Amino acid sequence: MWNTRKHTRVGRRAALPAAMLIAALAVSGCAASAPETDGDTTATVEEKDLAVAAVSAPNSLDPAQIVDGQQMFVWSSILDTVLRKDPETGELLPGAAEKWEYNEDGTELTLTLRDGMTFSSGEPVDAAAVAATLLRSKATPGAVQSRLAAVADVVAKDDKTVVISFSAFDPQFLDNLAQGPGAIGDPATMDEERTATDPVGSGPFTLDVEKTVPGSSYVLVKRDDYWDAENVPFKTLTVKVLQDPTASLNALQAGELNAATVQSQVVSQLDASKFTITVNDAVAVGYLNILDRAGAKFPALGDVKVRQAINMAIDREGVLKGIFSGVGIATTQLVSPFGEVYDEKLNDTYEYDPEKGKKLVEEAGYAGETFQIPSTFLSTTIEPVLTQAFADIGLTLEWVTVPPQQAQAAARSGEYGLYYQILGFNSDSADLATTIGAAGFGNPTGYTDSTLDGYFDEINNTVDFADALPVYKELNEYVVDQALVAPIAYIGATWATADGITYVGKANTLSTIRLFDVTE
Amino acid sequence: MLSYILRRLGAGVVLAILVTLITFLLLSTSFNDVAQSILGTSATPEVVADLIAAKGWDRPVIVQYFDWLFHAVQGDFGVSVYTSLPVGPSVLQRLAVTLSIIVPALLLTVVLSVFLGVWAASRGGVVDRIAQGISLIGYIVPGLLLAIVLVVVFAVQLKWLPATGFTPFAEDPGAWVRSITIPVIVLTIGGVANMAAQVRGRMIDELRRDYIRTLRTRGSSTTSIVIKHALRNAASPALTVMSLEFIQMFGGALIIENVFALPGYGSFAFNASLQGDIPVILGITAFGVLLVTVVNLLTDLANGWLNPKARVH
Repeated sequence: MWNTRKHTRVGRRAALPAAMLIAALAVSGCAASAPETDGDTTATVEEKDLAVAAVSAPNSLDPAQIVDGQQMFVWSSILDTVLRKDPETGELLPGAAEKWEYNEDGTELTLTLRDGMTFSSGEPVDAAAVAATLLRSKATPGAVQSRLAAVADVVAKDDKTVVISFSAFDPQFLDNLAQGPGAIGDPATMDEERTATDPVGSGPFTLDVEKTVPGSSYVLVKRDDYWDAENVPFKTLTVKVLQDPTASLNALQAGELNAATVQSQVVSQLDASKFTITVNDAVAVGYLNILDRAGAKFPALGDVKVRQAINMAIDREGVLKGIFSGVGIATTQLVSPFGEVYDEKLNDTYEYDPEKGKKLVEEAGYAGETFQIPSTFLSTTIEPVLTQAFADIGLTLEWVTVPPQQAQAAARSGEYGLYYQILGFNSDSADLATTIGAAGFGNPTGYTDSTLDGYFDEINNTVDFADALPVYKELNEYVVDQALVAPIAYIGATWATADGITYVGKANTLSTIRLFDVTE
Repeated sequence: MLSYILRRLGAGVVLAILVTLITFLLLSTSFNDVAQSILGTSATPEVVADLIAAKGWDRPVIVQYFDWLFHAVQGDFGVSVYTSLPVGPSVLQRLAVTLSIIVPALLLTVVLSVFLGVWAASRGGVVDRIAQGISLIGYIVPGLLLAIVLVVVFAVQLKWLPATGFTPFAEDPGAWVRSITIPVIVLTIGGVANMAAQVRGRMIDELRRDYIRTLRTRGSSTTSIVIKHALRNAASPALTVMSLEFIQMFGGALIIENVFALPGYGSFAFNASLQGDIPVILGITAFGVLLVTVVNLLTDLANGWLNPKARVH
């Protein structure tokens, strides 16, 4: 755990339980304190250079324009976030804010910033800077804007205290503070042109503009005056933008990278004595989204028997083995298997049984129905399998090619009742709200029913996550039972690391350098 | 001559306007998707509509196009909707990377093709078959496969050259040479395969002509006949092939840039197309058309210089 430990054997042992305790307090809405660092340090780990591959270049480094995903490797190293996430458990941890506390109804959040934080310019990171960034990001059209929609105002109460008020409780807001919406910019320079390409931030690194080729390779140098410098085990960070997996593999083998995801089929090409292979079994979920859950345009999809039949028609283990090379886990659930909402038992709900599925479709009276479905760059490999699965239960899938830039519009157009998606994990609350919530992007028809309304009403009015957890579990069970979607498999990632670098990510898929550690 | 050049450049500008207009009309159906993409999946339709209005994408398409054109002719190609960086400098920066691969590759292609073509045509027999064999191998082996093999051998195994990345010449000339070596070799082999056969064919045609026979009977040396007379006449069609090769290399650069992670024009165009970054796509299209126009013009001028009959007054 990079972000909570000293680089000592003693420190590492002490920090982990502390972080877990803090995280537990944090998500329950209680105030939390930063982990105490262990003073008696010995055997300091030597700092290394980290060179990691990313599939996309940062579109911008402006806090109001930044995008999560692998773009985060660069921007989160320059811009601190208000909170962080534990790479192994996914729990929230202190970031720039060492304490956070909601009021009773979740309409006011008080953040207490830590001491000693500075921007790379030397200016202090204070409450005014956090407030200014959040208000600017809320007012500026960009990828983070909509995630600050519930924010009514942000006030710097004093140098260290920020009070955020909301129009209504937002269950996903704390998670967002560990991502793009939580990035902090320097108010003195934030409106300057340089902010998009070389911002002044409070993060552990600064951009080496001379060595950086925008869009291709980013070189960052560690700040010795960073408040948490002793827990940053890298002298430099190089992020190479490599969209081609073969290029990644070549760069790894040539020693130009020491961390990259690789396709599981080519792992054997890597010298086992030089590379450590770590498989993360679940970084996303691949699922067939049933867009027309009410059956408004496609009555068959409004019938729970047909939806359940679709779930029975998919040979999940076969897909996992044949299409995802066995890296991942077959599932009937949307939520992350590393989260608290996940229920192992639910995975037995829909055994692969096309015969039973076919009977259900016939009972429902929809045998022979045809569904058009967008064919996107994400779906091409799985299309034959899904087409066959539908055929096995007496239904027909017709794939309609949709260009990448129109893929989102196709899902929202109302033309299609089904859509194959890959959802990268965010948090249980966000993942369920996105796909099942009435206003969720993954629910473009706004489908809901009285049961769902009841669950979401309770979730949206329960500030303490621990109190809301039983409701989340019931909601998850209901989603599976009603077959509102057809999850197929958790999709994994295989990481290869070299030069004493280890990959420690598990539950948290945020692409920050905290996914990596160094070995003695 | 000056009026001819101006006319040709003018035609290029008109072509660029037509092509960008058609491109803009095709892209204009995607404004909503682009706005949604900028704002993220959780943005509501109202917020998306606000951004569309703020960007002026709700104006009549033709008005938007002429607004873009008005600024473009003044050198202002707008800014990327994703990065907010100015399009003109970004395209030129990417173009410089691609040209720094294509220009050396083209020069090498010309030198090697002329050598192989002339050698094969003038010597015939085994030499001709060897030259044709070399061309054939260039045709048969896919550039992508060749690139991967060269990377595995020279970057991964021998570690002589980098597997990925680009170093600007101004930063480190030595590193620049190393960073472009494999991409240039790959493009050159493909180029030679196309061009050497053309040069060989034209040279064989020329060497069979009556004036060559006359020159031989007058005792002119073979070198003089081949270089001074036959090659000069054969060079004209070869130049046309070269200009086409240059344009083809631009297309081929996309694959090369991806394999070597080079921040070039091809990968820039590819990503902009995927994202629907309208100003960038328009800028790339305009620069591309103008570049092709200039290359064709230079080819015509060179042809005119080589062949008086082809001169246009």
